[in-house]
Formats: sequence, structure tokens, C-alpha cells
Amino acid sequence: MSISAAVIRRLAVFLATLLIASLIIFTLVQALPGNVAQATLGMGATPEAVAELSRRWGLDQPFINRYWDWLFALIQGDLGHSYATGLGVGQQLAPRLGVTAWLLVWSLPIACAVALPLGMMAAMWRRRRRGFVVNAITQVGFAVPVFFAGSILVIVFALKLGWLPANGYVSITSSPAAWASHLLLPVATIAIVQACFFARYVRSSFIDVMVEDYYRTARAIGWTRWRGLIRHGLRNAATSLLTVVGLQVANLLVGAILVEKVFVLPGLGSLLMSAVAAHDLAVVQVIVMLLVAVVLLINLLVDIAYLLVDPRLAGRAGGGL
Amino acid sequence: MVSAKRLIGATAVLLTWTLSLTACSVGGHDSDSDLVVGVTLEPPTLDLTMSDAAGIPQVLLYNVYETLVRMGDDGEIEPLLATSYELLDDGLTYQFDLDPEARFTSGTVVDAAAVKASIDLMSQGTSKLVTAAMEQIESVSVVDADTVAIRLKQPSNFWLYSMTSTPGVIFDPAINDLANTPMGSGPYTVESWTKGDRITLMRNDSYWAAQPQFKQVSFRYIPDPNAMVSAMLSGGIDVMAEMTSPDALGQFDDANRFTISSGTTNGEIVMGFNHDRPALQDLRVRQAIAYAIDRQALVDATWGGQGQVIGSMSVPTDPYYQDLTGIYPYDPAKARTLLASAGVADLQLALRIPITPYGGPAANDIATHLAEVGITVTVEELDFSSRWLPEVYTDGDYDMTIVAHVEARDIVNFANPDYYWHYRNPEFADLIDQADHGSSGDFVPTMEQAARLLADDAAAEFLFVFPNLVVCRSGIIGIPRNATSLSFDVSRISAA
Repeated sequence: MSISAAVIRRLAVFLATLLIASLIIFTLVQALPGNVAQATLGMGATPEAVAELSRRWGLDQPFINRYWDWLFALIQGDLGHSYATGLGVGQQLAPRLGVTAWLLVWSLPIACAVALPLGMMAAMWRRRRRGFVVNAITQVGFAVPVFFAGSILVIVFALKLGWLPANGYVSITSSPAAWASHLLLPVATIAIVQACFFARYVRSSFIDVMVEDYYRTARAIGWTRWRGLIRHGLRNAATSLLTVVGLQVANLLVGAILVEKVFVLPGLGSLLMSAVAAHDLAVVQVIVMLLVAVVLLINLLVDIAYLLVDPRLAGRAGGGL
Repeated sequence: MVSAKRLIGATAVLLTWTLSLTACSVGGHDSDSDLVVGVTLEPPTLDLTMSDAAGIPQVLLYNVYETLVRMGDDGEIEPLLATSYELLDDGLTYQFDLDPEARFTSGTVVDAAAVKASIDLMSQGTSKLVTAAMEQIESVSVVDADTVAIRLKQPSNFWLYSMTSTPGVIFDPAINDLANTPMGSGPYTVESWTKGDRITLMRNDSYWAAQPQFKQVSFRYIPDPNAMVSAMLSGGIDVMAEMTSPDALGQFDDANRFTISSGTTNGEIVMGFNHDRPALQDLRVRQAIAYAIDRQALVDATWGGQGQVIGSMSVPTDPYYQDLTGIYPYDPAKARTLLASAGVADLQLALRIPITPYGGPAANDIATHLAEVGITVTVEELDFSSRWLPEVYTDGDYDMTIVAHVEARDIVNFANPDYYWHYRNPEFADLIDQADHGSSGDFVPTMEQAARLLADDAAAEFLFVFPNLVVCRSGIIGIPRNATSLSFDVSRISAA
């Protein structure tokens, strides 16, 4: 099978998965207890008012009709309207997306950049005390919950030292310096936890290299361990890091939602939280759909990247890596 | 080895550099002209005719929009756009004399025609608060440019009071986008709204009355209590308008940095009974529950001792407030006797509450106290919109629940048998009716009688008044001690 056929095959699987996901999401979200009309009208709502609002919003239509209308609009790029605010979901989503994107765009590369040397040190010194220390740090760092790590950073850098703001957000256009200072702690929170996680994969992939013949040969001809690891191990580690990053996207997004809560950032996570609280299903289902689509898309890209790196994979059936 | 050291060194340098670069911009606002207020609930929309969400009047009322008459700090009705008002001899018509100086931010005169147009606009609203006030209006007539007469369908002593709040807002006749672009006559205008973050108000430099000090005021929405405390401690906000974690008050002890003010609100925290339940229809059982609960101990244990105990559905700033806390003093022995005489043994009650910061601790405290007199209470915490509203509020599937009733003068809800308590007491309903429709001179004594009746009847367990706990940066003054309206009025705040 050619590479292009394999790519098309994976693309088809991607689209089919997305379609199934949309049905599952819509079903689950609609099955949530409660009623958005009731939630919007709040205490003091009469049953007639709730019924009227439900009718106006089409909530009394059969399930399959509502699903079909939603899906059809979604395919055409119409994300629908929020019940609670009356605003377009896309209009609400766009500014939030930017904040979450900044978080990920900064924390992911920083996490990788920290994880590589950290993992390398842990591998290199794995039989020494300092290697053990590095290993222990990554173990602890990964075990710490995101909100706890974030709270510690707030206490140290915002409350004790007073160097950085405790929470909040300023857009890059209104003040780049304030924007950076408000993002630093949340980005550091995600980066620290993720770096510790990645470092463990990097360590084992470097250790894999250290038992290979070519590494022993490199050492035999007089290369230092660092040189051997960098020349032979880095590519190996990078591939395994890529896999883990792909698999971690879902966790990263969840981490970003928690971090947004700790640092009161107006991102996707806080929109999801407030939409759930207001029972604003039109917003909830689009955000969940978006998160699923992002995760699937990243995995698709990783799959395709593998195909390009290792064409032997194109011959395998299925293609579910 | 060199490369590893170099890497660590470079990282350290980079980190220090970034920190030093950003350190100078902490706080991020000019404290002489800007004020940042931390609040918890972001409004879903700015259209106050559509939604009763408390976040809307909190930011807009008296700041952006003004009313004919306003609520004073002591719970008295004060003039605002109207310099004076009188109830005409027919007992139905309120005549307001508008301040001839009053202008909308756009420069348009606030005249009788604008008042009439505002009432027309309000009448199309869906907010329960607004429709309740509008439904009582028979007609609005323009007497002359500065005089407007509003005639009611029947005499009402509650109506004028309700007009101090959202229903009484006077809109600029040019308004066309209530949800996004409020246009009023207040000292501030809405400059911007970053959803999920803040609403920024800008001073209206052509304001018709006294100019406020701060040029720019931001309401920052911080739902998480810990984040709110951190923001206040680190200088990210100047005022913490709502303290939802009284346990953290100790962190603001430093009087050189912070000022704490504690007053009352219109919020009664009430443990309501489902009067459809046979056991709770017995007065002796309700009295037993009242005797079994030590309310002061409950406030101390659950809300840091902040919050005044009350004995009925009334707060200290109500004109008809009286201290009724002595009717059922803490007396577990009496509670046991009453339960025995009611013939209920092994009473089991479901206390199903919405999740709130005060509800859980209060419910557990109550469960412990009731267990001491032989009542088994099962506490269940429910998500407000997805479970509490449909199950408890609508379907009445509960024995007891704990809710803060934050609207002013919401004692009238007890006169409505369809309200979720299902409280049916014709005598009480008659008193409310008399108080509302009778002469204004009889209003206070009749309301006092109604509040006492409610307390005697142990119609609910009235726990305490939600405190108005405000922490601000020291030097900031002008924040009223008591919150008598739904507005957080920033126009009178100044920095010494």
C-alpha cells in the first residue's frame, strides 16, 4: 500500500471517529439532568414560562431532529447560539480559545525543552546519587496535582515575593508586559508538571540507546557519554517524546482547564465551567466536541508523521497506532 | 558536563531576566485613577429587563443606570432622578418631580417622556422582578416635561420600594441594544466587557450630579474564593466586594494594608420546610426543630461568627425589623418534650440543599443538633441548576433545604402557597395583603405583625443574615457598611 493510500485511510478513520464522537457527545450532554430553560429562569420560574422557553428554543423537538439540526449546522460552520446569553457560540468561543492556545503554545515547548536535559541527566547518572535525585524530582513533580502546583507557585511568587500577579489575565494587545507577567505562573505550572512526565519517557529512551551496540562502539572509539547520547540518543528520544506529546494532548487540555480555574484565566476551561453551571448545553457540547476534535486531529497528525518517518507502517492494516 | 552546566546556567539567567522584566508590572493598574473590584458572579447579559441575575444590578444599578428614587444606606427611600415624589389623594397615583439638571450620558434631558418610554420598555421584559412591578402599573402620564404621574391598579406600599431597584431604571430613549450597550444617566458608562474576566466602567465626565473620584472602575469576576483572597493579598484587586470564605479573614489583619468592613445584606439564610410533609405540618415538630438549633453557635461554626442571627424573614435594615430571636431560644430539653407530645418517634428528615459555601457546613451542624433530640437528618448536596431546581424547587421532593433568599422584602413569598415551601397560612397572607394595599401609615406595624406571626408559627428555620463582608486596600473609603440594594455603588468610593 502506498503512503498516500494509507494517509487517506487514516483520514477516513478520523472523520468516522469524529462523527461517532458527535453522536455520543450530543447524547450524553442532552441526557444531563436538569433543564436549561429552568436554569435560565431560575427560582420564581413558573412551569408555563419554562415550557414556553423550551418551545422557543426547540427543546421540545424529538432527539434525532435536534441532533441532525445541530450536526448539519456544525458541518456548515454554524456553532449555534448560547441559550443563557443569546450570543453566538463561535463569538463566545473565539476570545477564550486564544487564551487557552497561549497557555499550550508556551507550556508545551518549555516542557519539552526542560524534559530533554532532565531525562538525559537521569539516564546518564542512573546509577549515581544525583541521577537518583533527578529521578525523584521528576517522580514527585509528576505526582503533584496541577492545582496544587499552581497554588504553591502563587503563594511563593505572588504572595511571598510579590514578583508576579496572583491571577487574572491581560490581553497581549493592551499590554505585552502585563500579558507576559500574567501568563508566566500558569505556563510554569503546566510546564513543570508536564516536563516531569515527559522526562521519564526521555530517560527510558536514552537508557534504551545506552545498551545498543552502536553506542558501545561510539564509547569505544573515545566519544564521551554526553557526545554519544546527543549524537545517537537524541533522535530516538525525540521520536518517543513526540508519541507521548500526542497522547498527552487530552491530559494537557484537562490540565489547562484546571490551571485556568486556579489563575482565573478567561479561557476555554472557564467558559466550559460556567456553561456547565448555567446548564448552557449549546456551549457545552461545542466545547467538548472541539476538545475531542483537537485530540483526534493531533493523533492523526502524529500517525501521518510516523508514516513519513517510517514508510514500513503504510503496509500495516488498520493503522491505529 | 560543560553543556549541562551551561544549559542550567542559561535557564537560570533567562528565568531571572523574565521575572525582573515582569516584576515592575505587578498589579498592573494606576491606583490613583483606577479601581479594581473583585466580585464573584459574572452577569449572563447586561439586559436587566430579561434576567434576574444578581450580577447585572451589581455592576449597572446606580453606576450606569439611575432610578427615580434610590435605596439609601439605612434602607430609606431617597431621591435620585426625582427630587421629590408624592402619593396623590386617590391613593393610587405617584407623582414624581424630575431633577431639571438630570441628563443622560448622551446629553439628552431626563424628562417625563423618557420615564414613560422606560416603563414601556420594562413592560416587555421577562425578568420576574421587573414584570412584578410593571404589572401593577395602570398608566403613565406626562404632566409636564419635569413631572410624571404613575397610576397603579390598586394601592401598593411595596411598589415604590421595588422601583428603587431594577424595575425603576430609566433608559436613554436612544437605547437599542440592552444586552451589550447600556445607555443611562449614571456617573459611569460601560467601557468594555471581557467575558470571563472583567467589565470595565469609565467615568461619565459630563455627569449631571457630583463627579466620582475614580476615572476607571473594573469589576473582576473571580468565582474561586481562594483566588479572590490571593488577588486581594497580592494587590490584583483594590476591593473584595464579596468575602465568601470568612475563614480567610485573618489574612487581612494588617490594618496598615487592609480595611475590613462588616454589615448586613438583604439575604436571609433560611432552612425552609416542605409544608406538604405531614410531620412538618405539626407546629410542635417545627417548634422542636427551632428549639434544637443553637443559631449563634451555628454562625460561629459555619461562617466565622460573621452574620447576625434573626428570628424571622426580615433583616435589620428593613423598616419593620424587630429582634425575634428570643422566641425559640436554644433548649434541647424542650425540643424533646415537644416531639414526645407530637407523638413522633424516630423522625427522619431529608435535608436536600444546593451546593453553596455556607449550606454544607450549616446543614451538618443542624444534622448534629437535631440528632441530639432524636431526629435523624440525611444531608444531600445537589447541583443548583441541574438537580436542586428541578427536584426540590419544582417537584417539592424534600423535607428541608437551606437557601439564602437575597431579594429585598422577600417575606412576601410566604404568602404564596405555590412557592416551594408550600406554606399555607391565610392569616399571614391577609396581613401581607393589608400591609401592601392599606394606608402607608399602617405598613410598618402590619409588617411587624406578619413577621412575628411567621416566627411564632416556626414557618421556617430563620438562621442568619448573610453578612456584607468587604475587604479593601487601606485608604479606600466610601463603601457603605450595609448592602441595602443589589447595587455595588462605586460612585461614592474614593481613595484618601
